[in-house]
Amino acid sequence: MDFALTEEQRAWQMKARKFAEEEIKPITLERDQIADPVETFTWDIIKKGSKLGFRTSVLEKERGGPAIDYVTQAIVMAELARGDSAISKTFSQCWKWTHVIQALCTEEQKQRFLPAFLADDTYVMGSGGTEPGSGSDNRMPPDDPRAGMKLKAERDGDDWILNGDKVFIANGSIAKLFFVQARTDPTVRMADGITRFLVPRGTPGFRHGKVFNKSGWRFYQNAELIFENARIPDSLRVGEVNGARKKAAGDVSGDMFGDLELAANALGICDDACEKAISIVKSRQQGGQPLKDQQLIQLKIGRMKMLTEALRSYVMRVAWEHDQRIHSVNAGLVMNLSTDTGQEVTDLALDIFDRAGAPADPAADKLARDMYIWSHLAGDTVQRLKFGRNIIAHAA
Amino acid sequence: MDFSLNQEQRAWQEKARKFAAEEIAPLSLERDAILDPFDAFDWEIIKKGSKLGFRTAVISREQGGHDIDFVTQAIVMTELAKADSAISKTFSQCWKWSHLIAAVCNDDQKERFLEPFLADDTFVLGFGATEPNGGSDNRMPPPGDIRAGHRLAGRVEGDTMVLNGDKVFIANGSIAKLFFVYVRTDPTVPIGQGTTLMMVPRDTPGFRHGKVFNKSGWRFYQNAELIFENARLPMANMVGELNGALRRREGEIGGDLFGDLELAANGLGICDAACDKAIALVRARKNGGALKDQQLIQLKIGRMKMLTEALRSYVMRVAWEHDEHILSTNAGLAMNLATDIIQEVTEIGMEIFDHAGTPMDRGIDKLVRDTFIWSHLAGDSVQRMKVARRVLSEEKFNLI
Repeated sequence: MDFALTEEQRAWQMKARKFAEEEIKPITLERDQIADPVETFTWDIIKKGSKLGFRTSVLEKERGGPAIDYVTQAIVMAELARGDSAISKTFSQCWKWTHVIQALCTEEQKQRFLPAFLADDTYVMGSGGTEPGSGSDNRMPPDDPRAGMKLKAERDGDDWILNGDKVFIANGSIAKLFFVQARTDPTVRMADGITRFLVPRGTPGFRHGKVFNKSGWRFYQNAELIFENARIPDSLRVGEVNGARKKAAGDVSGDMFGDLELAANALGICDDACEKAISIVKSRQQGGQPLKDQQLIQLKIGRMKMLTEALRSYVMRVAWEHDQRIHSVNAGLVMNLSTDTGQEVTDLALDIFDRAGAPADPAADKLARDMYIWSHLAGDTVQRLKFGRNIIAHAA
Repeated sequence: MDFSLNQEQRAWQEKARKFAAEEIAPLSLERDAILDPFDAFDWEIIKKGSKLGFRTAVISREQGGHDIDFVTQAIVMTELAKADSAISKTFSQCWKWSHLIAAVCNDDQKERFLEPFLADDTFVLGFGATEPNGGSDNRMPPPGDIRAGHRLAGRVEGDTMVLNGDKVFIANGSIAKLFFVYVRTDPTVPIGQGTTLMMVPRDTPGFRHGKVFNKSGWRFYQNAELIFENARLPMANMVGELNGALRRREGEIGGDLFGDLELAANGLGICDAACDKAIALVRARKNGGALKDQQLIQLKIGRMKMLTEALRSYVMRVAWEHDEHILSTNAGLAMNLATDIIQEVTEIGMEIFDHAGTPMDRGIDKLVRDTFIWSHLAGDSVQRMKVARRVLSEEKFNLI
């Protein structure tokens, strides 16, 4: 048992903390309050972070990246999220797909995209799963060919022709490369009929549509992707035809990273909420008594810190498991837990700010809003059922 | 970061798991169902566990014990508690006071009490703080009020202290051979400044135990009344300074710090038992279709396991912090959290048994009852405020 960080992990933590303090925190509220969801984004902070290695952190050393381990990934995501959860996620979304490229792409595909990704501070990546009629159906598809995504890809010689829409796509308005899941066999259940394609921005017939206007994570660009006879060469297919949903044994990319990602990011929000709440109760008085001496406040602060440290313990354990290539249900469970913990902790912070005579504090309010999206990504019933089933089927 | 166990830790875990499965589990429900709270206790299991080292596990090697580290302590408590939380606690209660003896007793006291403790499989230890009117007041005394807190009076007469008063709910009260008792030696000042810790052997004249309290859970565990009527103790049995018992030493990791980890690790064992029972039942039963295929059941199982593994992560981190002599608020917070988690997890376990058509299953019912006591020991408002005040008094906001 060892909960300590190595020197290298500590160095990344300090670098991320400094960047979050000095560069992210000063702009977070300002970006959050811009009304137009496209305008909330700024390249400036991405470029600065990229130069420090936060965009390309998990790229292999042979290809010029720092290849930080999962423990470091968790720490960096949490530290950046302490500055701004959505900005942290914009960076880590690139890690998610770097993991996938490294795990699943051919050498030719790696050669084509990874050097460009490394060289360009504005090269970010996105996915493409959700569609107007299928979100949770993609995650836990019923054995029904009608369920799940419908974006169609049809073979045409050496090319594929894509038609359809994706919605809420991460980095949708800004990414240079997307990993799009398309239906290549509509006659079978989804799990057997999906192929994944690399779709570069600039592909003819492919464009992004509107950027969705969210209550939280406002910096983060969730956009519509529109495919109208978009032509993709077969060389951009990832893996087997109809094989995108068949997970290779031992594959620790993609979802496994994604589970840790959301949990570590929420931990950063919890840290920020605790720090803000502790700071205000230490500085304010009410009815001639310091707020920190009120029992109600003490119980709320204790609960915030208790839930936060439990989450940290679990996040670090899961990150360690990933580094050891231990596969367990813990990654999914800690993601579920991060929803409950993050939402309760930010809600308690709001209570405390209200009680401190600082109601609707924009910063505390933003943290609570930023946590809403976990209800869609990490703690919805489908994301819980998946792991509940897993435990009943496999757990020792 | 390393969440694995070393070979020695693993060996203790296996030993505890085997003892729990083979010796504790078969008698757990039977002891629980005995009506008389004194008869619920049984020396046989204590003797067997003692021979395997579970009673004396934390005594240092040079003194003849096993000197297991805090990580191992947490694991062993969890494994034993998986079969019976109260039996686990009967053993670990001895560790609590072994820690204290090692930390604060003088050589004479160590010699007089450690040797018999090591030699006798039935030598268990107890502690006496709570009184009819001083429970939470002892834990978080109102500042400056001399009327608050325990009142058991100690009057020094030369080389002797004369004790008069009562203690209640005292751990191992009816069975321990040695007690550590908080005595009010100066009633004119608050308890923080007027309390002395005395070692009280069972055969002290004027000292006896009274009734054993009849609890809904932890029935094996003996919480008894201690009665002092002109009980005379040599001053040589005083631990530390006169009036100095509640002045905590810098860097001290015995006593409460162990106690926080203890309740969290024990609770984890209850959670493991509840998860195992619920998962096994769900896999086996049908209820208009396989139970395991019902979404409601899947969500409940997921939540039980999620909370249990979160608690395990936190418990192991705290145990590691103790081994590293890192003093933080985590021990107290993990103890608080254990209350919330074990009560929720066992309650969900009970719902699953009801849903499976096996209502009032005695095994799951016992787990729920065993967690009640955490509301008194670990998760009451006072135990939460104490930790929160420490969080608020830290100068720096601590991450890892």
